[in-house]
Amino acid sequence: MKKIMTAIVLSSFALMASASANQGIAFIHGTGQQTDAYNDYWSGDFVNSVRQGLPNSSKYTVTNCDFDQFMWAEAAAGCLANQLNSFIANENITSLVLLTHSNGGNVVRWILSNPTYDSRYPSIINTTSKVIALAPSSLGTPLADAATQGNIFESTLGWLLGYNSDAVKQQQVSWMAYYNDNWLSGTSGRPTLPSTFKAVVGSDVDSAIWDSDSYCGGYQYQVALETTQNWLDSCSDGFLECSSQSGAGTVWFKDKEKTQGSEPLSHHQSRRDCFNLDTIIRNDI
Amino acid sequence: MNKIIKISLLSACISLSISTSINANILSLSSSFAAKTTPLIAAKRMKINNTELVAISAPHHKIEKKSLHFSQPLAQASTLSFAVKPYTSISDEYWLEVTGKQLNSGIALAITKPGALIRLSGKASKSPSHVKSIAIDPEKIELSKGKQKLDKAFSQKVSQEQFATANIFPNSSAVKLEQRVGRGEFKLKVNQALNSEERYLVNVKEKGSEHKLTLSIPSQTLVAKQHITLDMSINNSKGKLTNSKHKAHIKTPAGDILPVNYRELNGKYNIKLPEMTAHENYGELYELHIASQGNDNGLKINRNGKVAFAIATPTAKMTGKTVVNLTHATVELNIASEGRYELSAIVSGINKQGKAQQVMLSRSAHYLQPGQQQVNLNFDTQLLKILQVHPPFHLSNLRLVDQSRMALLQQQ
Repeated sequence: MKKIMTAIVLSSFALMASASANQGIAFIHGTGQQTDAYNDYWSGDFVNSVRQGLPNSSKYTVTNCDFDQFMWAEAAAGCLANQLNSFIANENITSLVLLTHSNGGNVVRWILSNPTYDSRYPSIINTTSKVIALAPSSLGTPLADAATQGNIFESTLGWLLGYNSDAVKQQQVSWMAYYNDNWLSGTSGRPTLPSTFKAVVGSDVDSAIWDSDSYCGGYQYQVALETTQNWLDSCSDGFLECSSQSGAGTVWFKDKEKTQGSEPLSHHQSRRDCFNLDTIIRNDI
Repeated sequence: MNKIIKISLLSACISLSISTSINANILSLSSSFAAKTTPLIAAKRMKINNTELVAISAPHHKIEKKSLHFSQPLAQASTLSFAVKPYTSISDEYWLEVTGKQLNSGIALAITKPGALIRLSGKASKSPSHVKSIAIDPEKIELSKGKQKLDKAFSQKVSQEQFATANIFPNSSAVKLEQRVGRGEFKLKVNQALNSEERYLVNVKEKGSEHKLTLSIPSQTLVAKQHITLDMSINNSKGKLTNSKHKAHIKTPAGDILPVNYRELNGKYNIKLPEMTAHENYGELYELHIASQGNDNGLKINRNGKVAFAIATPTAKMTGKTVVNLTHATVELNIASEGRYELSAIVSGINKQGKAQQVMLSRSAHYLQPGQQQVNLNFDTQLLKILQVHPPFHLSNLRLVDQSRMALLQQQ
């Protein structure tokens, strides 16, 4: 009975909040240092389609931070917190949807999971109504392990394997297991996140040269992603296993359940207007 | 849900009673702070109430100074688990480093699974005096078995340009072996002029191989000089291979390599973690690396594996004195190192049925100076009303975290 009462109280708060909310959406990119994520990471077609789902489609922002850093770094979570707080303040946002891709989900989870770490985080936590996490790397990826193999810094020679970013280190499987168990909420056995965190899971990669679906988002990506599946299990988007994408929060849907033609979403396609993904998100926000 | 979570900011740090009379017995002063890849931190060890704490300098990175408090309801308290968990890694691959000269001459590779993938990554250098590594053209890779060169040995060839689009394997190329090529020992040769001293990583990935290296550690949260028991073995479909040999080392966050000696006892391996100096790479993890070799009825097996773990530097501790009030708990701490510390606990109250019920996770963080201190863990009293519990309140899973160095220090 108590749980029911609590649920009623919570629902009432949510309804009251949504009825009077000034809603906005923030697009949060994945691994990499971005200065123009609108063009370089998302594409204008995707952003401009998704934001049409807002009551006022001008209430959006595309964040640009250095997600080559560890998620907690000032250049990562600190930068994101600054940009989100500026957006909230400048646009008087009271209900914020965070749309993340890949490692962007981990940076957002860091902020939501560590409210006492930084005084910039609480206002974001209080304003965020939900997180739509496109292919989040919640449990890391064996590809990050492969990318750092043998990547031992030798002080006398200084040899390094390329793409040696802290974000890639962080997304190694055993590293994310540690961070999930000690610093992040939302995975099994851990405290729940203070906002809904729902994942869109990419489950396969089409790379047949005769299949036009392979070309959405760029064919050259698909060939590489099919190769990387050698490090991944049978359900993956070419970069992340489905289990990792499903590892935090809840699964909103697995690609083929809602996409046009039941097409799978590769890791690059899950940030593009491929197979109606943009429309599905637009109708949800 | 987030609407009922209340966060209160205190404009100033809480008032603290700081004892300046810490009876610190300096046990050692690290002297190995010469220039390294990452600055190490001068550390003093001291014993407080029979627990060794470490006094290190304040963090150099940006760190929050305001006190912050946060409480959230526990919808599924019964599923929460703060217990220490073991971690197991399973590997069906191995890797080795070779020079351009070796690749041009040919290197031996052991394959246990038909259809294995071989990735060749040119290693870049930070030093401007080193030549840029040449990406290997997969069309120039040749495979032999015995003295016989194998025609059409590869079912797939991936170029540097194709790999680069995945944004994960730079300067890399790969070939996938035809199934009919089978398994055993092969020679891989690159018929492309490479700089002789140039270095490459060769990664053999044998997806679906029955031969796997299993590596388990009891916890990912460890302390320096701790004794731990490992499980490490190469297994086939029938079980553990008894002739496996393992080499182990630890890679520190600064990139240094520490040798690890182990002692085998009843099929398990005991190791003592080495002394590890406090470092500035806060949040970054140590790695235990294993290189293993086995033999399964004449089939040679190579495997590499690694697991990450954290080494907590004991910068503070709870003394065990905790008083729970209506609006907060007061916890006594011994702080050895200036920094930001978070207290957290699950709060229980008495429900309508008169039974104790876990309802809320509360956290408070403060920037603290060294000394003995009484620190508050604040409750969200509005949330407690909504959750319909009343005093007396009780704490469980009380944890102390050093936020400035990202270390779990204590859990009661």
